[in-house]
Amino acid sequence: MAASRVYRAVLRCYPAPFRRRYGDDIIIAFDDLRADRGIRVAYWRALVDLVVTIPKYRLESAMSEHRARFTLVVLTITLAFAGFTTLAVGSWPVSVCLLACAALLSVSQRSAVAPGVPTRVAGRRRRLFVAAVVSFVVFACSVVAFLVDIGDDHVAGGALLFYNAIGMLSLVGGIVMTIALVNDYRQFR
Amino acid sequence: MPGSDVGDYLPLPQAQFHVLASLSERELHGYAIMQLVEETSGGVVRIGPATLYGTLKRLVDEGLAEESERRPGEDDQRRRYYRLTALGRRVCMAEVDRLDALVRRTQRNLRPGTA
Repeated sequence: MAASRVYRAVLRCYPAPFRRRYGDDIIIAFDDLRADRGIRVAYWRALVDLVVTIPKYRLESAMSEHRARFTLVVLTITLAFAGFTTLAVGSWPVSVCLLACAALLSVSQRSAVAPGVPTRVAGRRRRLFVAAVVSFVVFACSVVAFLVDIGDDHVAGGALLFYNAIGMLSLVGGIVMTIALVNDYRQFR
Repeated sequence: MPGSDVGDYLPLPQAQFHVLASLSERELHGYAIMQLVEETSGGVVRIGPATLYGTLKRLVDEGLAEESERRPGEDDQRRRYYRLTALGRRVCMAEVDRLDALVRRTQRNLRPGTA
C-alpha cells in the first residue's frame, strides 16, 4: 500500500528505539484508521499527530538520562585526549584548560553515572571508564616522554622503544575499554 | 523504575487517563483503544497512532499497563493487546476519585442548591 509506505517512511523521523518497539504497531493502527475512516481522515489525523509528537519524542530521547550520561563520558574522554595531545605538541595553556575541563567533568561523571542504574552495571561502567581514562593518560605520558627524548642524542634507543611499547599497549587498551563502555551503554540503556 | 505510591502518578495527563480508562473495560489492541477513547469522550478526544503508542510506552515503562499474552483466535496475530496492571488499576481509580471530588466541588460552587 502506497499510503502505508509513505507513513512508514515518515516514521523514520521518530527516535530509533521507539520506532523499533512500536513502528509496526503504529502502521497497523494507521491502516485500521484508513480502512475505517478513509484515507483523508487517516492522513489528516496522522499529520497532526506527527507534527505534535516528532519534536516531543525527539526531545525526550535527547534529554534522556542515559543519553546525557553517554554524551558526558564521550566528552570527558575526548577532552582528556585533546588535552594530552596539545601538551605533547607543546601548547601547554590550551592543554591545561582542556585537562581542567576533563577533570571537572570526570568528577561530575562519577556522581552522575551511579544513581538510577543497577549497581552491578554502574560498577562495571565506572571501572571501564576509569580504566579507559588511565590508559589514555599513560598513552599521553608515553607520547610526551617519547617526543621529549627523541631529540636527545644521549637517550638509548631501548628507552624510546620502551615508550613506544607502553604507548601502543595503553592506546589499544584505552580504545578497547572505550568500546566496551559504549557497548555497555547500548546494551543496558 | 516504577514507583509504588499512587499519589506520585497524579494528576494523570489527559491521554494517559483516557487510555487507562479504556483498558479498564477490557484488554484492547492499539486501534481499539483509539476507537474507544473517541467513543467515550463523545468524539472530543481523538488520539493519533503515534500519540497512542507514545502513551502506551510510558504507561508500560511506569508499570501501569502491560502487554497481554492472550490473542483472540480470529484476530490478526500481529496485533499486541494491552491490559491494566494492579498498580495501573489503583492509579486509574485514584484519578477517578480525584476528578470526582473536583467535579462535586465545582458543582456545589456553580449550583449551590444541588448536590
